[in-house]
Amino acid sequence: MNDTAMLAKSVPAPGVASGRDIIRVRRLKKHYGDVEVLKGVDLAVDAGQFTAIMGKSGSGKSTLLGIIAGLEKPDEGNVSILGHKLDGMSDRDLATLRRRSIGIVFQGFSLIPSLTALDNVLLPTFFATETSAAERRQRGVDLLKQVGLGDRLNYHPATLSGGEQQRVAIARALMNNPAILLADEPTGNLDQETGASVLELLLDLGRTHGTGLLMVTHDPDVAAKAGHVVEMKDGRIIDGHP
Amino acid sequence: MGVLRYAVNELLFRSGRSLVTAVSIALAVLAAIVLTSLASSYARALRVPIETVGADVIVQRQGDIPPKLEGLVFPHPNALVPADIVRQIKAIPGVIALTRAVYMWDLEPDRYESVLGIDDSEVGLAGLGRRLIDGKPITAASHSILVDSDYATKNHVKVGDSVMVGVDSFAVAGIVDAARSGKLVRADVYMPIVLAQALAATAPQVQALYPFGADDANLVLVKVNREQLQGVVEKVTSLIGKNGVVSSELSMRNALSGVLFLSQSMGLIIAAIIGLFAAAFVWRATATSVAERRREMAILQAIGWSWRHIGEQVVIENLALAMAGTAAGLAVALVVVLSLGHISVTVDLPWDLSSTPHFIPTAAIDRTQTITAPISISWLTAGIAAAGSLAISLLAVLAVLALPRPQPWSLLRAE
Repeated sequence: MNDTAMLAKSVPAPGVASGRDIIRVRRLKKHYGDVEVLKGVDLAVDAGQFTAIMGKSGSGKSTLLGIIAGLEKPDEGNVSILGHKLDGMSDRDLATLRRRSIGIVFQGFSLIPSLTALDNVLLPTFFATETSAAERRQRGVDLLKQVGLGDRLNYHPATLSGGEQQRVAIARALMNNPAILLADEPTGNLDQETGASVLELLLDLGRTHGTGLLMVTHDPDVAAKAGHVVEMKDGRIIDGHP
Repeated sequence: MGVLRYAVNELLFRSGRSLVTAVSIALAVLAAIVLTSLASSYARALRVPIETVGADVIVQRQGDIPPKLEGLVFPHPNALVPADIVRQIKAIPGVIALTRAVYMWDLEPDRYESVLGIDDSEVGLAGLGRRLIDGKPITAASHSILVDSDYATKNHVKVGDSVMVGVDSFAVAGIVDAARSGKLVRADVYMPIVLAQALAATAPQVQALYPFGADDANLVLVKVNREQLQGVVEKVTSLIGKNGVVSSELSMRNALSGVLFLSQSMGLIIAAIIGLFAAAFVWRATATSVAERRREMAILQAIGWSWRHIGEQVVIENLALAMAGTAAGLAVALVVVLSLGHISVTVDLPWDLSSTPHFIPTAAIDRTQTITAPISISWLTAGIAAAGSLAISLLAVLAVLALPRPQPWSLLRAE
């Protein structure tokens, strides 16, 4: 059985949440050596909602995002994505869940330098079997057009500006029409104008695709656009307000 | 197709490392193929001195020097081989055909000639008939002789002339070019074996040493099933006794091993050493590449690739490099082997394969022989080298991927 088929019964179709909470975090704890980075975090993110996590450096917000993405293991507590507990999932099942239901945008643009913009966008679909190669390519082209890079399909990352690279990364994150978009300081490496433009694009596409957005940010202006803001300090959520 | 495109792009993106890795694989394949091909050619060359006389095994016996070096004498490596021994050799399993011969020197005050009486076989009179350049062939029942073209030229002998052998005179029926294409024992005068046996049986200097009878021989050429060569050689050696000289490809290999600096095993050892260096390089290049691409691998994990998918991608890249390196090594090996064409090695023939009387200046011939053997690629070796390079590349990836995995989030996070 291929990996897509393995999760086909349990993971909802792309873009569809199984109930109100698409992310549920309970009593999450994480240590790095002697340092306790997360001290029992609880969090819920609704489908289609933009939630911002704010906090100073070292507050634990990026670690929280990594654990939610299944790229980091918690010491205690559990995370449910679309009703599925990550705890105990195999590497293969986690990869399938990410590929089908989660898009991630990083602060660093995180593109593969040897591939063109279009191939970078198509990367999450290299093992897809549900759609034809032509259909996948067309979706990749459409997404790059949506982020304003329809004329940069065959450009390599080194020939694109920072803002353009982040747009490619956003298109890639949306390639599989995920229910959840995770963003870790996505405008942190961009100048203010470009950052604002990328943020608008992210929010706009999130709305268009019905994607719930959980974003880590330092920027109060960015957080101001969120439907729900969570503030973290010293590994705890100290405030959560709409 | 996406993964293949990714692999090709990745290898081209890191073109320097890809090139060096492929070249190291190519060099190992090239060395393995060329060295083993050369070694095989040297091994083939070892058989040439034996094949020159048209036999797989040459049976002789060491004897004594006659009291007087005059008239018909046996060279000392050609002592009596009794008819009874010859019959026993013929009965050994693996012996396909046997040709008897009597080889003598005719040492006269004013002349010298080597004389060979031989059976009417493919390496005897029948073979000589095919090398006739003038006159007519002789058979086992003939009372005439054939002479070698060099001897005829040197001594102004023509067809129809008479030539003295010992105290008897024989009519020259034909002139042969025995050197052409080899496969014959070289002599100045050829005659049916019965004539030579009769001459030897009455020659004082032969009879002074041996009770040579009218059915005996002093040289036996044996054609053998090659798969049974070793067994036949062992049995013949046992039969012929301690003074026996049994020449074969096996004895030549022993005799000439000092000359052949590049033996088959040496070629394999050198190729194996180069292969080990190439394997170490491929492993290191793979490890370095994977280390440099840790962040890239973390990105792939973040966008939904499993570690197995990533491993498969690296395997594809390494196998592509191995295939490119193998193809290049094979192509260059083909060019090298074709351009070399053949090897030439000059060897000093053992006395018993070139028994001319070196103590007579006019009779002494150059006992060295330049052997030429074609070089051809061993496709088995090429296959092993190709499979080896693919296996090395695969093992290098597996070894590297078995190392502790990087924590993807630590490589991707903003803080």
